[in-house]
Amino acid sequence: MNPVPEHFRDDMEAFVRDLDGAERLLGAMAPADSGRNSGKQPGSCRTAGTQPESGRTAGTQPESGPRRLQTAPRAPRAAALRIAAIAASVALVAALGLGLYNRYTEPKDTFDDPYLAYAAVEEALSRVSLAAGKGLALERESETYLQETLSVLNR
Amino acid sequence: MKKIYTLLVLLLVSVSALAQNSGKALYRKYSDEPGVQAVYISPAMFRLIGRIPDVESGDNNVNLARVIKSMTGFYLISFEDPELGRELSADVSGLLDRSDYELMMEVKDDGQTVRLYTVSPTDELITSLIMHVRDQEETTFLSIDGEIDRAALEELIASATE
Repeated sequence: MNPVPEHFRDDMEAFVRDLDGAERLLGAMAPADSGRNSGKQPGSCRTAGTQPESGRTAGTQPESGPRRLQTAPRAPRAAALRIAAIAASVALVAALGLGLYNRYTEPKDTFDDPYLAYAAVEEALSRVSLAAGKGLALERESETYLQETLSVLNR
Repeated sequence: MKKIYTLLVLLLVSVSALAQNSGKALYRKYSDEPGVQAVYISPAMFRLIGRIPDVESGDNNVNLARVIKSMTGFYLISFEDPELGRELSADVSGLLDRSDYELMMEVKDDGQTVRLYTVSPTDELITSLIMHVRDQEETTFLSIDGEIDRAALEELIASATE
């Protein structure tokens, strides 16, 4: 087995850190004078940085078996995500609680008699139509002045 | 990451649910204040109104019954306190900024300002109408919810100008 080049050694160690049999692989990649047994099982080689028959180079995925590249989670990011999740959950519960409170605590009807309620709505609608009608009347009045002005300008 | 996205979506849904029915929120805030006249008609009462026979309304040739029976909520508050009127105006402005209300009409005449706002998901339908009237003596806030036919409302307004 060819030794791993020095400038690839750190990358290789990070790559195989969480893989199964990592110690065995690191032992297999140790320099020849260490005298350690590689412990490599025939047909189950998962090394990186070697020169297999397919001609792959260091740092590439092996051909056999699934391999997951896992890096250690960065602690501050994981903590921030946890805090964000807790805050979102609290806000969600609070919003749902407030929504349910608003939904199930209806104000009391002013009228018990539907005829009286009808009369109140009718009066309110009359007020709305009067207000809107006043606006339309003002608009028509201004249109009259506008027409007069245009007729003077066009002479 | 998927859990975070799910939580955010649920949060947005719940917030949007709270944003509806803002007329009720303003009614709830001001109806118990001293000196405030308040009228509330619930969806249940409007269902009862829907069952009563159509009533002819005086000289008005417009069929108000069709408009009234399409309503589902009615909130009216009226008071004379100018300080409360300023506070209500600020709340109405905030409400309009957060919602889909459009200014339909503004009339200023003799020191009185009348503003009409509507929510129209389609050209033929009005789902919410707000009228805010303010003058030196009185402030009135009216909110109507329902599925109001725009043509019927325009006919009602046109009849007032005749």
